[in-house]
Amino acid sequence: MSAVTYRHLRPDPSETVAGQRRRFVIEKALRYSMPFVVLGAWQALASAEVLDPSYFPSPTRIWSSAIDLVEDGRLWDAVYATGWRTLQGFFWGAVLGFAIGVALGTSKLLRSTFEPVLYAFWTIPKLAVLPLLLLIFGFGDTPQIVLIVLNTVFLVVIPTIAAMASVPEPFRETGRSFGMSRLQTFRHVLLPSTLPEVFVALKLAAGASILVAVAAEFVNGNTGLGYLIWNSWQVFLPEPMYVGIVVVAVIGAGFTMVIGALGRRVAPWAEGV
Amino acid sequence: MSSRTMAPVPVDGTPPEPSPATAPAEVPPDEGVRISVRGVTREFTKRRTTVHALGPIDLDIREGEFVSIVGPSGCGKSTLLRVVAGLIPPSQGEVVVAHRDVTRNLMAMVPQDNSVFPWKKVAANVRLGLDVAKRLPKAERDQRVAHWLDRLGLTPFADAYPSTLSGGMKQRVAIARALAVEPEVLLMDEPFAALDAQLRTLLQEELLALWQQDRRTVLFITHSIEEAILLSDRVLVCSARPGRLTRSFDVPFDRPRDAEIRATGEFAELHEEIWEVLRGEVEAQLAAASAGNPGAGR
Repeated sequence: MSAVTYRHLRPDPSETVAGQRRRFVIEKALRYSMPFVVLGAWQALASAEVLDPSYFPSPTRIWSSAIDLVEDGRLWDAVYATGWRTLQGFFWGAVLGFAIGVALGTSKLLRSTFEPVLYAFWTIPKLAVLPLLLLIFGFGDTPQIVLIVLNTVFLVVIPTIAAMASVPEPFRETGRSFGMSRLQTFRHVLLPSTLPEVFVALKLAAGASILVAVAAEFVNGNTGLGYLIWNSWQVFLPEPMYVGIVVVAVIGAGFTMVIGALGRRVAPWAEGV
Repeated sequence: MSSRTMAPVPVDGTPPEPSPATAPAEVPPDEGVRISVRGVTREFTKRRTTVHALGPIDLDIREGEFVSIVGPSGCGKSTLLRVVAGLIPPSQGEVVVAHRDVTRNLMAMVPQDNSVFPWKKVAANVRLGLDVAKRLPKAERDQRVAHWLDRLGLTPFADAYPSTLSGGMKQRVAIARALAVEPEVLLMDEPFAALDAQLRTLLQEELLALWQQDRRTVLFITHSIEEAILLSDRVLVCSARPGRLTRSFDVPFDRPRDAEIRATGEFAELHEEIWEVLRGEVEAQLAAASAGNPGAGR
């Protein structure tokens, strides 16, 4: 027969206020120091010439290249060109996508008619139709904007249809029991019920718009951040290329957050927008 | 006075066959009858199978009467309420509802739960029916909303979103929203089913007090025999699917009554009597469901 052992259940020090505070400080410190650690390591490796500077120039050289690009106005021109095309394409894509989503989401007939076609078109890589758009719309901004519109439409349509179709039955019944008209049902029930999901879609579409804009600039045109990146690579100037990449990332994050903030304004009750 | 008739709409688009169960059209119910359900059945067709969910049901609800229907889950009692509410048409038969004052809302409904709109603040939820109907000038609507918020103890939460409220408070919002239009008929579909036992008791008592002030015609669906006896003038028992109203019990307690009647021997006796009938139906429904035969009795 073995001896009795006892299990002691005692307070956990990490559960105290001081313990939680410590954990919070550590988390924040790690979160904000990480980018500097990466940059510092990069700088050190580049200075020691462990990294080939013709592929990986040091952060300080990229920074001075950025200053040059700002001073001669090229960076601003590129940001403006990409930004304006992105905004136009995103806006019209969002409007059109939401309208189509509402139409298909509220009409079962339209949905069963167009859904397969929609998914078929969604599967086509959008960049693959750029040559066709160039043929139709000629050179200039239009084909690139149309490409962004197309991309945004699909990203908005599919979640909007799903959200419209999944409005909970008690909400619909409440509307009908008060004798709501079609318009009132849309205004009081369908629209607000789907807004949170629509804004999640818009956030994704915002980032994707910039992605498509930059990709289109690689292939076509001689303005914008995509052109800056591609052209720098072609003439073997890695510093401005990195400037372009970083600016694209920053704009993408900023645009996505702006759309998120807009969503929280429009749908303050929703969580996770 | 006008009446609203819900005649059958065939599921597959073919005209309904004349059936002896269908009452002749255009015969108004007796004076004093608010809701008249005549030979109503309801079937649901999904793909190629038709499930007979309800009926035939014949039921007259008098003006100002509080009628409860108790029955096993899935017996079709909620379906009956939806037919009476005009949300779904009957498959056969008709429902005639007297609308005495056409400037007022005929009906309002309190669904089981999760019907309060999360995107509207409490006050906006309560005024929904008034805003949709647009019968009253705005100042009067504001007054109405303030009155019903107050009567259900919701005034402190007027500017809160429902997500910040407890289940009991949300259900109060749903009740206030229905009562704010001051409908001629109130339809309640297990309005307290999602609440815990204590809250439920509390809200039953509140509803009893509210109803005794206005004496609206109410059709009330519930699982709880106790709730049904406490609130109603008449308790009907719904059979296993396809639901029929097999028994009717008159509740002998005088109005206005008090929640204390729950402790009386008479209450317990009636409870026992209804349970004896209901128990058989619950067992039948259970047996049918386990046999994988939801259309039991067909």
